[in-house]
Order: sequence, then C-alpha cells, then structure tokens
Amino acid sequence: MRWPECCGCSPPALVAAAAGAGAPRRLTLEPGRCVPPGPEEGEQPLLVQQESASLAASRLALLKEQEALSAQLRVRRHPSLLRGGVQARRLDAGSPLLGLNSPTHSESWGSRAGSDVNSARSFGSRAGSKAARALKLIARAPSSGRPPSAGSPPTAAAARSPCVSATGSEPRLLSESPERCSARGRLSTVGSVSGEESSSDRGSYMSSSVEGVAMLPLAAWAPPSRSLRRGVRRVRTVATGSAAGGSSRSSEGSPEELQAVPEGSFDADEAAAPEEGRQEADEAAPAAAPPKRPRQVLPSRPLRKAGRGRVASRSLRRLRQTARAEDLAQIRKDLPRTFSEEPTVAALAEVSEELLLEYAASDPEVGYCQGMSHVAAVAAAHFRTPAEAFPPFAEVVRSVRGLWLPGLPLLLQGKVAFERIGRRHLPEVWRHLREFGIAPDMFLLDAWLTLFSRWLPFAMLWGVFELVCMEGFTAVLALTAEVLRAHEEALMGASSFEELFVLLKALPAQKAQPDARLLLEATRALLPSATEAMTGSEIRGADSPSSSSVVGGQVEETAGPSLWEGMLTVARRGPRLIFTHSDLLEVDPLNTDLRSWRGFMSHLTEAAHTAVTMTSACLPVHREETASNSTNGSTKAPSRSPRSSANSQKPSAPSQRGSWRCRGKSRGGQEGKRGSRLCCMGKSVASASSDDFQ
Amino acid sequence: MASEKEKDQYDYLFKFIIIGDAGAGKSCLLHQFIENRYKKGSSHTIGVEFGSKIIHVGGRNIKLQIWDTAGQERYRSVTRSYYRGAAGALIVYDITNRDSYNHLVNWLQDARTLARADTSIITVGNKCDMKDKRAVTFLEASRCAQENDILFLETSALTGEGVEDVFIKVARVILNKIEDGLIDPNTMVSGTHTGSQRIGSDSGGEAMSSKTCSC
Repeated sequence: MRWPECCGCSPPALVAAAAGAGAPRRLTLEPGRCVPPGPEEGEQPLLVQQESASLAASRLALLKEQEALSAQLRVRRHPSLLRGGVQARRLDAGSPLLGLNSPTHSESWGSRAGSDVNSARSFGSRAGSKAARALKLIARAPSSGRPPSAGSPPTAAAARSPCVSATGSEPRLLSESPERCSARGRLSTVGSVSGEESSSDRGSYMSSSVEGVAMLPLAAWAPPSRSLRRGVRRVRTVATGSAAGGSSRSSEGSPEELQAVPEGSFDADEAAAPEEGRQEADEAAPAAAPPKRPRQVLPSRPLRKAGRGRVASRSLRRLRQTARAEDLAQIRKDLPRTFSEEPTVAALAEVSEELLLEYAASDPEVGYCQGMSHVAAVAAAHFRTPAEAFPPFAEVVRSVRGLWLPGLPLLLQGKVAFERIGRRHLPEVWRHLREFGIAPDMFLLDAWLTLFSRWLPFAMLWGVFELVCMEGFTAVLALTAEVLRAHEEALMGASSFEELFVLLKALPAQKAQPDARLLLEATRALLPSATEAMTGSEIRGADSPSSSSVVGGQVEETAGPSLWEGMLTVARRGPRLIFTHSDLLEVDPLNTDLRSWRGFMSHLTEAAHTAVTMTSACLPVHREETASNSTNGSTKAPSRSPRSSANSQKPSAPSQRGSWRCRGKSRGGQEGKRGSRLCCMGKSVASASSDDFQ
Repeated sequence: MASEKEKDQYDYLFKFIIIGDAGAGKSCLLHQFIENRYKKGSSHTIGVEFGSKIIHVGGRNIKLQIWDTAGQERYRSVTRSYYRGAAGALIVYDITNRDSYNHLVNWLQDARTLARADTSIITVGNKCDMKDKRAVTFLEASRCAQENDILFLETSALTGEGVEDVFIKVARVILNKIEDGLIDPNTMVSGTHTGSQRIGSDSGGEAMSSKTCSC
C-alpha cells in the first residue's frame, strides 16, 4: 500500500512521533515511496481513542500550544536535519552522556530524527513526550487554515502512529518503534559508512549527544504549558526506565542505513505552509520569517540572509519598540563587540539582538545582562534564525538565570561552591592561583557570565550550553574545574600574578585546547561532586549565624504563617536558589524540572503543601492564597496525605538530582533539626519551627 | 618579601580603578595606555580587567596597577570590591553620550564612598576625536569637575590623545600628597605601596601577595 499523502506528510509530526516513541528500528524510504502503515495500523486509532478524554481537554489548550506546534515545524526545517550523515557519524562515538555507548545503538539513526529519538528517550523523554503530546494535538487540531488534503496526512499519521499514545497514559508504548513515522518523513537512505569506531575521536560526543537533544526537543524548548509539563514529568520516569531496553532494540539497523540524509522531499516549506497559516495570527512567532532553506549539507551551507543586509524583520522592529530603553541600548552596544572575530556572529547580529530582546521581554527580571550577548551569538550562529534559536536559547539562559539576575546571586553562591571544588579537585592549581593573588571572581565572571564563551573555543560552545541546559549550574561548576584542569600545565607554568591573570583571560588563545569529548566526559564525571559542593554551600548558608538570627526574629513574631509568607516572598522575588533546610522538605534548586519559573512554582507549591500537611497544621487560607498567587490560579498542587506524600517522596536518594524530597518529621526531630527554614541565597527570608504549626 | 632587585624597578605602587558607564571606552583607554595602541574589536568587559605599567613621574618610578571594571549597572555589586584601597580613580564618560556624563555623579559617589577617602579622582571625557558627535562640551564638564573638586581631561583612546596624561596627572597628584605627608604609603593597607611587596587586589576579602613582578 502506498501512503496516499506521502508528499503531504508532516515531517514535524513524524519527527515528533519518532521522538516520542522508543527505539527506531530502521528507516528505508525514499521520496515518493513511503512505506505503508504497518499491520498495527488499525489498532492505533484505538489507542488514540483511549486517550480521547484527555485529548479533548488538551484541545482547549491548543492555542496555547501553538508555540509548541510551531517548534515542531521548525524541527523539520532545522538545518541540522540536513546533517544526517554528520550526526550519524557523531553518534557513533557513543554517547557517554546519555549512557549509551554501543556503536550499534546509533547505527540505525541515520537521520536527525533518529538522534532525536535517542536523546528524547534517554533524557527522560522530556522532549520526546512533549513532542508526542504536541503530535497528539496535531492529530486533534481543527484543521483550520489548511486544505483538507494537506491536513489529513499528519492527522492520519499521528493517529496511526504508536507514538501518539506514547504520552502519559501508555508509557509502555514509548519503546514502540517509530520507524514508520520516520519512514513517512521520506527520509531516504544513502548507503555508506557504518558505525566507524574511528569516528569517535572526531566529533565530540557532546556535539553528538547534545545536539541531538537540542534539535529534537525543539517542541519541548517551546514554553510548555504547565499541564504539558506535568504530563511530561509523568512520562519521564517511565521513559527513563525504558531507555535501556529501548536502546538495545534499536540496534537493528544495517550499516548501509547509517547515513540517511533527507532528500528534497523533506522540504519544509511546502508542508509547512498550512501550519504557518495557523500561526499567522501569532505575531510573536517569527517562524514565518525564515527564508527558503538551502539544501546543501553543512558545513558548505551558506549563511542565510536572516541577519544580513536586510531591513530588520517585523518581529525585531516590534521588539525594539517595546524593549526597555536601557536594555536595547546596552544590547546594541554589546553586540558589535561580541565575538567580533567571528564573521558568522557579525552577520547574524540581528538574530542575536532579537533573541536578547525577546528574552528580556519574556523575563523582565533578568532583562539583559552583559555576557548574555555571547550566549545569544552562539545560539544565533548555531540555529541561524530567531524562530529556531529562541526556544533553546531561552532554555539555556533560564537554566542558570540566577547568574544574570540583578545582584548576580548565583555567581555569589557558585563562588563558594567552586571554592570547595577547587580545593578538593584541583588542589595544586588552586594553591598556585591563591599564591599569586588570583581571586576566583577575577576569572569566574568571565567564564560564567558568558557561559564559557571566553574560556572555550567557539566551536565547542553550543555543546557546552546544552550540557548546562540539561544539568544546570552544576555543569557550570564542574566544567570550570575541568577547563582549569585542562590548562593546568600552562597555569602552573605562569609565575606571576599578571601572567596568570592574562592567561586566565585568554584561555581560548592558548595553543593547547582541551579535547571537547574528553573535557565533557570529565565534566560529566565531576557532576556529582559539583552537586555536592552546591548543596554544601547552601547548607552552610542556612546554618550561618547571620541567617539564623534573622530567622529567629521572624519565627517568633510571625509563627505559623511565616513559612507560607516566606515562600511567597521568595517566590515573588524569583527562582533564585532556594531550598528549605529542614527535616521536612528540601527543594533541590538544581532540579532539572525547575528550569522555568512555572515549573519552579509548581514544585514550590507542592513542597509547601506537603510541608504543611506533614506538620499537621493545615492552613487552608494560606494554602489557597499560595496556590492562587504562585500559580496564577492555573494549577493547584495536588493535595497529599501526610504519610503518603512522605512515602512517595522518600525513594529519592538524597544525592539524587532532579528531585525534591521530603523526610519524615520524626526523623528530623531526632536529629534535632526541628526548624524549617526557607533560605534564599544564604539569607533566610522566613522560617517557622515545625512546632509553631501545631 | 620584596627582593632587593625588585625595589629598583619602582618606588611606589599605586592602585587605580577605571569606572564609568558601559561603552564609554574604559577598556580601550587602558589598552591604549598599556600598549600604546588602539584595541580593535575589543570585547566588553565582564567583571574586571587588569593592566599595569611603570611610569616615571617627578623623578620616581611608579608602578600603576590598574583595574578596569565592567560598566553595566548590574556588575556594580561585583566591581565594588575592587574599589577598596584605590589611590586613584578614573571616571570615564563618553563625550558623545549625554547619559554617560549624567551618571558621573553616581560614579563619583561610589568612588568616594568605596575607595579611600583621599582617593584622587579624575573625570575623563573619552572619544574626543568624535567632535562632530559631541554631546557634552569641554567647558561644561570642566566646570562640573571643578565643582566636585576633581580633575578633568579629555582623551581619545582611538588616537591616544591625552591618554597618558590622565594617568600621569593622577599619579602626580598622589605623589604630591605622599610628599606632602597627606598620604603615608607605609600605613596603607593597599592602594599605594612602596616597593612591590603586594600586588593583586583585595577582592574576595583576601590580601594577596606577589613575590615577583613580571615587569
């Protein structure tokens, strides 16, 4: 059977489907010769039907999800899609980061979609499940603005795809093969190299694994709704669990299929046209801006016209009008002197500007801080268009936004943590620097506020950003230590303050540069220590006498409600590194879920509820207030019973990242830590002893 | 401890800071002073930059240890720690940018409160080669400096005009204060030092010492 609408298949949907589902087996399709839907074809609608209730609900959120949809489209248009061969080869290097080292594992992923699948699955399917969810939305979307013929294929594809049901309620399907979905993407395989082992030393594994992450999850990069996030979170655990199984299944591809590169049929523009119609209303979506995509394979692909010699795009002009004057002025001052030696960056200055302005608009508290222009420039050079670059860029910035917040809170806290790491892991370098009077903030600012743009070669930077995006500030800490270690010889060779200072300011100019793959591997290995260092610094902050005394006064005055008020205070002030140091609960600020304010808030609210429930001091008034204030009434934290919540949270190991955890009261009581403190950047803003609640 | 051979390199060590709005040309000014050439394609300062140079003033060799700070308001919390003990402060504004001139007062206040009480301060109107775009007249700025009892000069980091004069002028004022007994270099924690016993900043709350001098 011939897939009727093969030329109208919606690649984004397919990519999403592939991403959402589990391991790809193989894909061998050529344009115009799509593989018919598999034998399970008939079953798929059933799966969809099973979910129809939730789907119906999600339809209401459709408009809100347009961003996600447009991101889906961008996936297809993404330049990286053209790099199938390159990606495939890189993937051969295995992906230590993903914990997937088998060369065969990557064999069947000739395409971008393939690598996306990999990343989606092994990264807890955050992206993948979102993508699948978005796909679901496509499936259910009213096909307004698109001709019926063009509208049906994605819908049909979505409906028939096992991936559709891979969201939430059918987690087992995550491991379903998405090959049919991919196949409909009309990827044609060009037979060639198979997993050469030698390639492992070529591409950095970071670029392989992480690029994969960044590309596919474009849907995920788009600001997801809270409901979406929740769904995703639910799936994540399952997906992570099934990653290993899925990966073993994915190794069936023949070597010939390794380098599947998209052909002309992968043309985004025709298929995207109807989707773009849908976006028309949304001025903010610059997705319509990208010009026709050239089809050459990178790196020979010429620069797009996006940022060059054109009148500023409409979205940019709009952003300029609405931007804060000081931000705009500063951005325009800084961009010409950001990577001024990189021609690509200069050519894409307008893209960078748009990214920065858009981010400043979306996060006024951060606005624009010097250093962010480097991040934007790298994102612009990597993605080329604002539409493609913004979601990942914003995600990167958000993951460590405390670095740029007024007062640079994360920098201050990170400095303490870095000192721990330095002393422990780089004792000699650390001593050497100290001996010559180099204080950490003399070089940490350069490294951190530009996210290593002044420390590492330009080509490595996007990979680094992705690592930071995934791991949060701990990655920054670990990478700092590893870069210093990589330059240890040069540093130890410098024998004066000035020599050291100059060296630290010009690390990328050094002859010997760290190998990207090794550096990132080492960084990953150091992550646990970095987490420990961060946690240590937080705890130390909480225990410091000054914060305790502040706490003491507030506790006695405000008693019970102060916990709530404190949380609200902190919540209103922004997601700085917050934790509650108590026997009741801990919110891990480095939680990967806490990448956005909304995600953070939901965690905070949830944690607060648990805390109060556990202390058997239910304060309904305050609870409502918190819920409405903190979440804008969009979602309420689930109510939990004291014990069940304690039990449900307990399994999280104390050192495990990405989870907040809750401990039983009695245990804490035995430890003599009865006070529940809420600390913000080492200063407690409020606290209440657990007894006060009773 | 300072070795004997270092002592002949310079008699005094003065700590300077360069402050002012972002984009005023602070880094280029420093680069022009240190390297005697304009720094093309310079990047904006994140945090602090450092430069040092020995100048000859009033028959003395004076080593200037200059901290160039980031101009953006957000970095002030970090750069403030570099003010401590500075013997000289250069407040740089851009003569083509009225705002940067208007902010002089804030910078001046910062310098007075955070650096030494007897810090010698100079206002530097940079980019004086761009006469056609001038937004702040020489007279106006000069009068303002007089009112605030600080020095004033116009410079061009591009052409190098007046750059060295700025540093020499401030160094001379400090030297005069030392010779008049207004500043006792031996009692200073940092800022000026005799010989080269100490180098580096006190930022981070740690005094740093250097055994050698690369100059």
